[in-house]
Amino acid sequence: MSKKLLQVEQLSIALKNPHQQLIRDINISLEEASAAILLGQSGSGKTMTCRAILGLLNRNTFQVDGNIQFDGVSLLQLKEKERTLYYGSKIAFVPQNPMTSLDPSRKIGVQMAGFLKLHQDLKGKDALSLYEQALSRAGLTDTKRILGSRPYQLSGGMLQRCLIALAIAGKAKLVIADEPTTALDAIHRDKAVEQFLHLQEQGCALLIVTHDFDVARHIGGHVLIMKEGRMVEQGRAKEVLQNPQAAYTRELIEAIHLGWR
Amino acid sequence: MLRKILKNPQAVIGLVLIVLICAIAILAPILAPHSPDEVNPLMKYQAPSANYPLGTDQLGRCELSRLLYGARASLGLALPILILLGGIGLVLGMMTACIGGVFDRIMTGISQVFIAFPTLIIAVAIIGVLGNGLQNIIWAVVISMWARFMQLIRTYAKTELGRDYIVAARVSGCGMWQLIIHHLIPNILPQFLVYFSTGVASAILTVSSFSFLGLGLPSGTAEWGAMLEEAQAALYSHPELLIYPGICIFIAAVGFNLFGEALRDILQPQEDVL
Amino acid sequence: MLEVKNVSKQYKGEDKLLFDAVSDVSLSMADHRIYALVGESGCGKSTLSRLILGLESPSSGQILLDGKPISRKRKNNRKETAKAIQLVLQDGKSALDPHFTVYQVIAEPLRNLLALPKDKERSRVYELLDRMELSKESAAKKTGELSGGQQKRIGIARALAASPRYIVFDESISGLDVILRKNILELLKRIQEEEQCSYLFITHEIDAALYLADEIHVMQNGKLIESRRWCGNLDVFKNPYTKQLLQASHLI
Repeated sequence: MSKKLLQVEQLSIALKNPHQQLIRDINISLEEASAAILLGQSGSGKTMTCRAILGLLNRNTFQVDGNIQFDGVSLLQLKEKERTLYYGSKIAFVPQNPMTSLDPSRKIGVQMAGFLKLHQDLKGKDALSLYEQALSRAGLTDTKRILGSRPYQLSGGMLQRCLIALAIAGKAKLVIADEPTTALDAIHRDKAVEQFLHLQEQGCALLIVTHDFDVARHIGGHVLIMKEGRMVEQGRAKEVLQNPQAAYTRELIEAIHLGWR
Repeated sequence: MLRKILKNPQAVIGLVLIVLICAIAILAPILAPHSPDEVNPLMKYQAPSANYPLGTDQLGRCELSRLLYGARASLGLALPILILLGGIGLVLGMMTACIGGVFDRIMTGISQVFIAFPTLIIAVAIIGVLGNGLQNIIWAVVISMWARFMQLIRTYAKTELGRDYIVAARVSGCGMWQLIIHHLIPNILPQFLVYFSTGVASAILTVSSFSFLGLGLPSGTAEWGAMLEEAQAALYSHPELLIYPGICIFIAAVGFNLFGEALRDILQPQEDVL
Repeated sequence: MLEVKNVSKQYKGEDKLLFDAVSDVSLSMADHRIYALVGESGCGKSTLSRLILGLESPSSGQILLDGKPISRKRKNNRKETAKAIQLVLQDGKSALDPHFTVYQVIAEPLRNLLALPKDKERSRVYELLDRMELSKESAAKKTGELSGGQQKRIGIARALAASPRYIVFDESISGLDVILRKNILELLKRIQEEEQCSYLFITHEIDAALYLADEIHVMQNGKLIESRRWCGNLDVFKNPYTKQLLQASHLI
């Protein structure tokens, strides 16, 4: 039986001042090399949950209760120094807009090699070649051109693949992706999802935050429907999407299908 | 927005100082115990007393009265200067941003020439040409600073012009002046006020620099910079005559600067906490 | 009749070379029909919408309103174009002046284009708010105080205010939550039937286009590659790119 990689227990998040409860009792259980999808509309709290797992919430502003266990370690209790051991190496993040998350003035190869050196004991050259290998494993062919480009010279979809390659090179066990397909057109959306499935085949667990039901259907795995900070329904993707139990889920699925005259 | 200002300590301090200086400038005739120009050679360099709360200067004039009237001189010049600069900056800045094309290129070119020189140099040169006098000081400072104001407004206006709601307004039938009056000015005004406020501080310092250099105002006028100049001779014997006007310039400039910078912080788009 | 005749628009790219954003596009829009323009990002549909609205001039070709070319040169011409052709933008929030109240937003086209007396203006604004299912009290609110969905509706109300004959929707439902998206689409359909105006609905979401439109035009790389009357039968689409789009949206 696969080990539990990520265990989120009774996660609750509230804004301290003025007090406002944002997330209530979220439970997520993720095994190695499996996929979980946080599915919800804007304001559902899915991004906030994601940021809690990534340790990005300012404790002065937010009251965070509950437990987040990763590989036996409590993420919420991590000290500053210990963060590098997990974030950026074992836990990788693919943000919604890769363009704004990267340094616009530095070339991709240099930047990515820089990230790798933070976590692995590598010389610059070795880090660069490790990254180049990861790019090929991610299915990209003109790696030299990509390594020499700056972020604004590549498309959003391409940058996303660069970040996925970074996760591969960094030997990530968990990849968290925030709305990975929102900025993409329909045709590129499918290709992007294929990238993540490919990651999963290589042994990586996926936590995908999205509002797109098609993405949830395509990736499969465990789906958690979120509404206003709470979990409304969860289960295997196929079952939830074909046989929704909760009224809200049914409402969402009906709204997607527009039909025509 | 007023509430936000009152919550910010720096803004409140700045505002208090500004109000103080303005009040002094307006009420100087009532507050001053003597006329600022009343010379009395027998009473020179007097220590503070009931009659002369801050003592007298080298010509026996009441120091306190001169300081109070000095506020009038500084603000009385700085404010008209800023109003002119604001007006020219707004009109020219908006026009260049909206009209664009050749007009924009010409205006930008001209303003870049002016910006290349330090303001004091230009102002001194203009005074040199026009001669002394209150009006000439105002023109000198305005001519030295107009280009910076115009560029600033032009940049803000261009940023706003790129926004969706301007496109929507054009499609709703707005012509250039309607865009400027109903949309651009209200949205730029807060940032403009920041520049206006720190501009007053700048103008006060420039005017004081002038009179310190002996330019512009008739000699003997109760003005802080001039008072600094005259007090140089008594640096070791009566340093307080340098300290008083220095503090006044400092407080006035600080008040406007603090307020202006606090305003800028208040107006920064708030980072999305959630 | 709004006609686009062999319109092209070229821009200078980063490499200083001219590239065709829009290439020899022709289509005509009759009254009382919904036209959809479908394409992926970068295909030129936004550029085409700016040309139709008269915000930019085509490099070649003409855009004719009732036989007369629309021109930005003269003030009166601009107003005539604005009265006939209106716009609803993608981002509900940025399309509204943050300093304006809801009332001012909707009244603006009325003031600029119709010059109604105050009482008629007031009743028209409240009538539009009502049709958008917004309360009378929201008129006094500043635009920033409204939710995303409400802001979208205000944008639509503004476009409708002067009763235009044509409304261009530029990715107006992009990024909306699923339930809100459906509500807005149903609202748009209802309004078109009530107002009897024509829509040019520009989108990359082909399912929304199929829901609303009578005629579908597909754009790719600046060119119009397929134009079909739409009656519910997906077999009418022959072009392989169109089929690719339909497949990607899981419609075929």
